Amino acid sequence: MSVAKRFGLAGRLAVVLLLSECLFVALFGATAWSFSRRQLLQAFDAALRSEATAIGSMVEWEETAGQLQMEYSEELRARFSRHHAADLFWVAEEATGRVVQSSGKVGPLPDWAQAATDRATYGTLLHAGRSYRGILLRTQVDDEGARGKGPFRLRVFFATRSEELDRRLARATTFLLGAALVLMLASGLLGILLTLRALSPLSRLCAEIAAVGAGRFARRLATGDVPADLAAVASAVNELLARIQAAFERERRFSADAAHELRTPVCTLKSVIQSALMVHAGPADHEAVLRDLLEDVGRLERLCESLLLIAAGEGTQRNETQEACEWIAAARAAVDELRPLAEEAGCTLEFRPPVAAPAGIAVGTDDLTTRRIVSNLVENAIRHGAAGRPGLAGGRGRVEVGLAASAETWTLCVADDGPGVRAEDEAHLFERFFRVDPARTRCTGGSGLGLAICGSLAASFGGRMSYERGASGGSRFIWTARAVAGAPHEAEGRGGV
Amino acid sequence: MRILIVEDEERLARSIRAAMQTLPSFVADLSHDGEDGLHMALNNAYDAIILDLMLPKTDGLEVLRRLRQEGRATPVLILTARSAKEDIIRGLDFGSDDYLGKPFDMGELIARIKSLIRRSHMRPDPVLRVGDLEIDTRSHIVRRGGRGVPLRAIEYRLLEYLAFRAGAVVPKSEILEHLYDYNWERFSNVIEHHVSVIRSKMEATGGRRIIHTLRGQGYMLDARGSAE
Repeated sequence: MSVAKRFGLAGRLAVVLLLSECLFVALFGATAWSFSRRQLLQAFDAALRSEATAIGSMVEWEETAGQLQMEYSEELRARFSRHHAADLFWVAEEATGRVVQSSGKVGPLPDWAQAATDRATYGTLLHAGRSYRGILLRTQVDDEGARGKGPFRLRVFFATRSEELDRRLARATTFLLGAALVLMLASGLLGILLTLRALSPLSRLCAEIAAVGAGRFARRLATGDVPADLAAVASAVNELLARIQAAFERERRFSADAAHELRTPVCTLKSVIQSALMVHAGPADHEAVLRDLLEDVGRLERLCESLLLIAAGEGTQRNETQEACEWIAAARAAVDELRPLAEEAGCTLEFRPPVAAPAGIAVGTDDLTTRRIVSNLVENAIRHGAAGRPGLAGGRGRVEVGLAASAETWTLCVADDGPGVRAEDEAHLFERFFRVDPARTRCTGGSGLGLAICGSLAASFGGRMSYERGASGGSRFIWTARAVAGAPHEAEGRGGV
Repeated sequence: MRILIVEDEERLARSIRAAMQTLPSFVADLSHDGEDGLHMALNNAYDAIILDLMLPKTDGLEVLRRLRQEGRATPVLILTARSAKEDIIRGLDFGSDDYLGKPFDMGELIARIKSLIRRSHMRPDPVLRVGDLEIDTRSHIVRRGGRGVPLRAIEYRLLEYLAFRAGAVVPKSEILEHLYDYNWERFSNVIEHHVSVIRSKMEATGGRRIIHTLRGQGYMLDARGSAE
């Protein structure tokens, strides 16, 4: 079977065609051979029968001898002597077995000639080194001559040389065999050629697809002059190419954006170091410079972490789940960690767990991811929402973390009463490196990746992130996670991201 | 020479200033957003401006546009991480004089600033020659009649500025503006003091007076006659 695999579609079709043609030609040849053989034999056997009948009809009851005797007529004798010198015949009385007449030494009759049936039997025998074909016939002597003593049943055996017949048969066999072989060859070749020809659009398509090398995904296959069922394949491939191209484009943009983001802290590092080298300051200043550099390295480190998180989340499907009450606990812990920051920014931070946490439900996430997403969202809310609204009582912003359950999902919503997000920015919120203020203020220190990371993590667990404008104009960031009935599903030996 | 650095990344801005101020030619002011930067550029005399494009409050290109609209010819070097061809072309088209991408080499930045300043004063030779006075702006070595003249940083800076403006009368106020950064309290006597120190150093070896005082007008560096 593996040999067949190597041959490919055209090869397989050609082999099938070849085999079936050989089979048909063989069948036809066999039928033709069998038919012509039968025809030849029939003619021969008819002649044998008529001879045997003739011989049998020459036997009559001879009153004077008181037994059956064969009478040669002159013609018969002449005929036997002229053409059938080597023919054999043998006539015997059925009842007694007495041989009435025979053509000389016949020898023991072959088995088929000793069969006891009434029908004529035909067969071959070897006599004096030559091949004969003969007939055994049972016949009766005419009642007329026997005058009441009969009927006498006779066994007539007649055989004649079959060399001519054999030659004819051999010729027919050879001819048919030869013709069959030639036919098989010719039709096989023709079949292969036609198959290859018919499949050439396929191989052209293959060649075109192979030509779409890496980096050339802008190409599309032509679907115009291609047969209908291949056109479906071609357009499916085109769609695939479009998807690949889009993915490559996303990756290229991501690499470009990432490199761009990395440039800025690298530039600062370089300048600080070069400047320090030029200034030739004393050891005390060196320490200050080194601390400065450490801060920049820290920024680079955090940026790299974020980039790696995004890259790891892209396109993976994760099936782990976390039990609902553990999920709530992890979210609560993440919120509590940020209370000092909220205090510093002057806003209140509220955590609202769901009223009833049904048992036996697991959420599509894991502990680390839950903490990450919640931290990210709450930190954003504190930083951007802490401005609160002018004129708000007490001037303190409010950040609220609410959890809710529905049939198939659990949602976690982080709401603030800050200025909200502008309508034109809403669509881009979860894009990588997107910042509402493109001039990236140092004090917020964001890299524009936080929301993108949340979105990517949520999606990899089968959930999603979304944004809503709050009733009073603030922001609501919503994490919708899958809810699964049953026990939590742990990762199988997978290292955490 | 007085430089303005408009860059919102504070540590980067400080490191550029520190590097530039290791050379006696330069003093530098810092600004961390576009609005403040534009204000400073319009209200002070700078010999060159280093401008980042991604600035809070007012975008760098907008600062540049308004600066040129006000008719200021101060040389501007744009410093930014955005170095795609379209960004470079836009930056130059908006009126900047040079463009350096981040991350950059500090030595290259300084050399380009010096080149911009030379061009703006139309003194292309990095060695300023006035009579037998030679000021090498690369090594900061001053020679009078072939003999080295040792100068302190502030003295060099003053002499270099006068040399760039050689043959013209430079008011004291202008010298003050170009010699000190924003934080320095301006006492005009300090200029007279420095000029006399420079004179004494240069004339100690018997050179003719080259820095001339024009009463009520200012100072002039000239190798021709004496006007005092």
